[in-house]
Amino acid sequence: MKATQLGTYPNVAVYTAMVAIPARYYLERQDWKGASQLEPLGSGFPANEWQRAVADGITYFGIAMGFARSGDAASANSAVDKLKAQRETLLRLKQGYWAEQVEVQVLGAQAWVEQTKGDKGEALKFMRAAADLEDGSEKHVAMENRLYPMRELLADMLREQGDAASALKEYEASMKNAPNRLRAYYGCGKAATALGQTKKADACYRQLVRLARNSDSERPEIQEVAQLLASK
Amino acid sequence: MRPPRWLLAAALAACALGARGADTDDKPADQGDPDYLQGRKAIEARDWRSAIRLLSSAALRDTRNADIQNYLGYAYRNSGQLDLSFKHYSRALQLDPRHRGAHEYLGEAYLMIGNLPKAEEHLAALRKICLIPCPEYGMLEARIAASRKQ
Repeated sequence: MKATQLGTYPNVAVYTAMVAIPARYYLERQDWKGASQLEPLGSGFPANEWQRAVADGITYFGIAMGFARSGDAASANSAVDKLKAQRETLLRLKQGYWAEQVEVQVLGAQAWVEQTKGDKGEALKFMRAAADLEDGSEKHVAMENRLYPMRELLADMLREQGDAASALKEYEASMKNAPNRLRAYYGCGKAATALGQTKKADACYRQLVRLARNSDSERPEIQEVAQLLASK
Repeated sequence: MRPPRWLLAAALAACALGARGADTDDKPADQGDPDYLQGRKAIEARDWRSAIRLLSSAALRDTRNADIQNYLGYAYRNSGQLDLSFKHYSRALQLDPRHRGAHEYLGEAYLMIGNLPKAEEHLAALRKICLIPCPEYGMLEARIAASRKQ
């Protein structure tokens, strides 16, 4: 969409949608290279300073996650710094709600930077703080959903660190707040399998298949789970 | 692979048509209140009496604003009315348990009455809140350190 089609001073929901759609596209597919190449809102859009900061926060979160999970901690750190700058802008403009939402993103992105650097303890400290802060805050109407549930990211991190039991607990907690998410069902199935809880794993995988029943996607998780269930 | 263009276009068109011109809910609650703005100016001028009058008036209209309660606590503290200061700082933290300024100032207020353990509780709270470094933590930490030396 071109800036001229948006009219004068569109609502912040226009900008959050503009940047959240591509960010989600890459993050949900775990396409880290794609995420690291996300681009902030161009200068041609008639956004207020705070609207731009909210929108750019979403994009820099995606970029930071993309770099961190590609193993490039230095570039991820640089994106986190830009994310922090958006928070400073929002604090200065007295946009407390959005400043806190960007703080959630800073904590979440910093967590994965620490994980990439190999500091598991720090990574979990930041990730837990992000999940707790997000769960304690209300979702704004301008975001039709959380960009990416932080508690689910915490579960992903725990699973990556080999703590399947804690991961499963966090996936289940996350699914209460953010139900019907393909990635959560996938992670839940993986964590339950690692724990030998085949019944629970099956239940999660079947939910994933149900969710994707009308999909013609070639996403590897869907194919992997479909094959797994078919072989039983 | 990039997101399909039709998906982006459809979602953006829906947003642009449905949500335009309704930004009022995104304005900070205190931004337009003249008493709040004048009250903050009175605080800057260290005119505690006026600040208390103006901010109390703003608080009647905006009953859930932690910033107003925090400023009221600050004005009462500086005017020597510590009991009321504690009441408003506590209200600020009730409304926003992560209010950095209220934790710092309430910690400082506890130092004024010689209650070091309570001041340290607020420093500990700031330590948890300020994973992204915040000046409030350093300020209270320095005050507590100075208080220990006395």
